Amino acid sequence: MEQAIRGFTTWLARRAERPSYLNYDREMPMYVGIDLVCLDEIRESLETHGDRYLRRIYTARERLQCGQSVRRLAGRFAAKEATMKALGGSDPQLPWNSIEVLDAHGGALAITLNGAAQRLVENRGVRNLSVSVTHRRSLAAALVLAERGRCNE
Amino acid sequence: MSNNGLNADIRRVLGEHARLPVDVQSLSEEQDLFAAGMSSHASVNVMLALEDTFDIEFPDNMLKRSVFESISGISAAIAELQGQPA
Repeated sequence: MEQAIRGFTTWLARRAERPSYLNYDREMPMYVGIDLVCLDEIRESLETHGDRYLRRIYTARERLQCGQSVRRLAGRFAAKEATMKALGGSDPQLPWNSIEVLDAHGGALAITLNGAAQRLVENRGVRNLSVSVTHRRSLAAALVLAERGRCNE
Repeated sequence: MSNNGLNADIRRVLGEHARLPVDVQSLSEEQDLFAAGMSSHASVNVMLALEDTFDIEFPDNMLKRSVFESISGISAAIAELQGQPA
């Protein structure tokens, strides 16, 4: 843990000297991504584009678990975006359905990757992804932590 | 379709789906739409509406922020999908 904190402190100090946060730091022991989604936007997408929207963004398993629940779809979209941010700044070039957010034990969610997302994670040396999602009446937010190195080996 | 006509249609789609806090007509073709206030989810609605408008389908390798971050980027992507020079 101490080593992780030291690494994080060093990374912060180095990052402060750099012109852009979009540069991905390979020495960083962990990365974080966060996203916030308005439920109204999800509702509008469902009403306007229906099944085509669902199929472009969500995997078959996600669609099965979420159904037409705007709240659940919003949480998963936020988790996908937070994952992209944790994996590489603003444009990691990942299709949304290459990041799958599924129900896990005890009401938690878990992230499964495929295709381009899986290759990016391997390239980044990320060994574990943790996600937390929260909802309010009109908003859903997600926080993703990507851990590198030997922590889960 | 001329570039002006293409960009006018793109601006119309952005006006209807991007949820921008500013008038889309006030944005330059190179201006960053995300910096102007378009959310990542709004970009999904923009993408789907562009597919309807131009009768195209964006492949997975085009579903990325850089394609949708400016009017010129969107215009180039549509031209490519329609087999026209940007």
